[in-house]
Amino acid sequence: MVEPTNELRILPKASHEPGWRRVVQSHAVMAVASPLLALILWEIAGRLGWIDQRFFPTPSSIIRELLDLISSGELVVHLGWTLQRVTVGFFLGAVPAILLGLVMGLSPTLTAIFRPIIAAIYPIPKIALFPLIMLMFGLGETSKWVIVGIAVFFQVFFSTLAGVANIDRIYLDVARNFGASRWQAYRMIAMPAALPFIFTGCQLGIGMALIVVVVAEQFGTKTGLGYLIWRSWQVFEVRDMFVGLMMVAILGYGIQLAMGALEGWLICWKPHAKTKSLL
Amino acid sequence: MSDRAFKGSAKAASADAKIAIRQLSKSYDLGHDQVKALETFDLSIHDGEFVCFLGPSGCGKTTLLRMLAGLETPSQGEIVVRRQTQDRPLTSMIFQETSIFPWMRVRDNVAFGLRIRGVPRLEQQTAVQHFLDLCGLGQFADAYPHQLSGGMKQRVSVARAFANDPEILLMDEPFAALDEQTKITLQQELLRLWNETRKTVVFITHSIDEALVLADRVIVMSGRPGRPIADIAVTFPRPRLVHELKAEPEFGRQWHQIWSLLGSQPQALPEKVK
Amino acid sequence: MRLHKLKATMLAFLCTQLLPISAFAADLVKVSVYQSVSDAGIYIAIDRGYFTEQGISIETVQLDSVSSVVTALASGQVDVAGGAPSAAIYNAARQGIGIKVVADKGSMQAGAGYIGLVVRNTVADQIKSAADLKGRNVALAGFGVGTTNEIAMDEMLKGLGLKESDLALQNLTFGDSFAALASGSVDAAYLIEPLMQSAEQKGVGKILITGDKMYPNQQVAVLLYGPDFATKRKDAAQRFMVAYLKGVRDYNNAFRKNIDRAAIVGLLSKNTAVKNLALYDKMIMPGLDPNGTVNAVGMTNDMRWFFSNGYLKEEIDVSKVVDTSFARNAVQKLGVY
Repeated sequence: MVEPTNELRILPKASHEPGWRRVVQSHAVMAVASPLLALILWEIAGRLGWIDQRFFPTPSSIIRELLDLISSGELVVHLGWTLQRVTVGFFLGAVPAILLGLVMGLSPTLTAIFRPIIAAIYPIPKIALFPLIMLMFGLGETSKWVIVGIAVFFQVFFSTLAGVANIDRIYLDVARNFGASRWQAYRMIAMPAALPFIFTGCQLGIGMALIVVVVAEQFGTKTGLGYLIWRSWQVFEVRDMFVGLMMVAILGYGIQLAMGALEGWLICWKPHAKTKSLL
Repeated sequence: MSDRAFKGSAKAASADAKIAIRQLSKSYDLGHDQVKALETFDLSIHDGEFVCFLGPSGCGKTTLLRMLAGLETPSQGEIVVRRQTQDRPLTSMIFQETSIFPWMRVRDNVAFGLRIRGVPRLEQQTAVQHFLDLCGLGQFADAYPHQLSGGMKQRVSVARAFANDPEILLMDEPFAALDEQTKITLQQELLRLWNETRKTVVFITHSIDEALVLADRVIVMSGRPGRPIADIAVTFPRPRLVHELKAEPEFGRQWHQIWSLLGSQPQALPEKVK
Repeated sequence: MRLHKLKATMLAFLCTQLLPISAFAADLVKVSVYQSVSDAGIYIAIDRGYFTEQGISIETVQLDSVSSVVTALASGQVDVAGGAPSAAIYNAARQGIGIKVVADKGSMQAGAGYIGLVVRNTVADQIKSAADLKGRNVALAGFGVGTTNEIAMDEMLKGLGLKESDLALQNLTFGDSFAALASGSVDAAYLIEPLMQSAEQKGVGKILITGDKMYPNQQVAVLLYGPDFATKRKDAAQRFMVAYLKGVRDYNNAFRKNIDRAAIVGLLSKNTAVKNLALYDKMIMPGLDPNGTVNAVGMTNDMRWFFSNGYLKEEIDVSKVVDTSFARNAVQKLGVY
């Protein structure tokens, strides 16, 4: 006879777990539920007067304002302009960043030449350069593209460089043994091998682009979510300001989701693309 | 069996060799110290020969292979390789670690060398399909490497090298990381492939079994700094069947002979013998 | 029992020791200032002890925008503040924040146009009047964010039969406007003193027109009371106003009647951002009404302008924002200037 105390039973997991636990553990459900819960708590706190509605308007009143701004067509215009600036600025920064990152990653000489300059510029808060950039590129759209481009450049550049530095040497040995040219090595080895890093850099870069564009839109424009936020604060229209902030948040989240999907599709050769766990 | 002692061998570096190694040595700089990996030696390998280099870890056999692959240069001496034609690549290497590209499907991995050389698409497809089938990869052509087992990955690596159709195949312990059963299967398939193509093969291993099963000639290396200490002809008839070969008394005799040679070397006991 | 007695004695002791002190302690009033010359009334009253006379001690803080001022006033972080009567003030009132406009702190009285349009020197011969600004790049601080500057510009343009869209207006801070004018990014800029004078002295530009001629008597800055200060601390608020107006009257004496001018200039140069004494002889000094009167009619018009230009979602009753009683009572005490 085996005594019951010496027995370890390993059983299937799901059958006797309570339903609520399964719901909580479902990532998709929580991705929606947790922000929703935060909004509900905010609403309650506002209605009960725990927080001052004049400065922190309740989510329901913000959403009403949001719908007003959508139906008046104003919000779409602002959103469109911000999206345009982020997109143009992103490509302006990311494309040279990837190219330079790949080339530098495989060339110790170029690294020695450029790295000190780039490393020195990197810690400067990019938005502090904005007055200089306005001086060089004028007050119009170009200066906004440029400042967004600069912010994106550094994120993507350093990620690409790290990606290339992390390429397993053996892949480069294979390329050399099989007689690959420099260009073939970039295109067929360095680029795809560094792609996961490049993608991470792009995601960080987009986030940075949004931060920078919102600040840049305070100057020399009457369009964009940044302008909406800034003007609403200047005229003390707090609800409109929160609508602007909310739109930036939604835009940021949306772009991250889209990038995640794109990554899953482009880097399907990776066993566990991180996107799958996101939503 | 005709065993040739190395020192003073007249045939050591004959003029008509496919690969002629003359007064070759290799050292590495490690800060202030110089570490000698390969002691000066001469050696010839003939066209169509299957040669195994056998030796303990750190005897410089991988260094020798990397020099043949053009990945490293000698410190002294020279290696002369005679080309048959400029149209085909001279060497293709099969590495010990997983070296197939995870971002390419199996099909594209096998086609890698052909794409690099700009072989026409149609010709590529025919060659790739041929070696996929030969290596038993037909149904995995569109899989990504992460979906394959270790053995399958090495098959892809072998197929990639064969599809490239080089004059010389360089193999650096390609089956060392595999389990016994897979290893024997792949050895058998390599023999079959080689029978079809009869390429010059330089194969590095630390397994006496593997060397005897595959090679025409086994070069036994000393411990560091490495140099050839014996050149043993293996004359089992081809085609060979791995499992039956191992049952031959002659196999056991030669195994024991090589074991003794390795054992006579200071610090030369193979670390990885299992 | 004994313990209780001891406690009672200690309490009595504490009361006798502490009460007299608190009875004589001055009311602490927190005031937001900008270090600008239009804060003169407050600085003079501090420096000459007018607040101390009224039993008020002052703590000054600096805030960066009207919205920060509104927030700080509403939450009681400051009691009194200077600020522009921009759309933020009316919007705050619309949302039930009980801040009050109580006195003038900067108005475009005739000859007191301390903000004005400056044209770049190299194009000054092409831009001889405001009408020539058509199609030009013009820096306007607060353009597009509901400020009185934009109204002044619009008033001027209306008089010339022009619209805002006939100019390429750029929202830059006053400081950046000056830089943009100097670098040639803009052909004209709306600048506040002492930048107007600096532009002329450094050969950057020429004054084209001053604010008092663009929008006569426009209320450009006001003194604001926070909701609690205006209602729950009425007495202190009243005494504050007396001290403030005494300071404003010294300012008017100095710059309009030349009484004690050197002393006041020294005092202002010490407290405000304008440190150069020579500038006080050249620059246009802001109008500060010695009786504290604000231009409520003008403010109502401005409020309507904000509404019709989308900076205000509905019109409000300006008379509920403007509370002239403090200034009126102070004038009764001090006599009409």
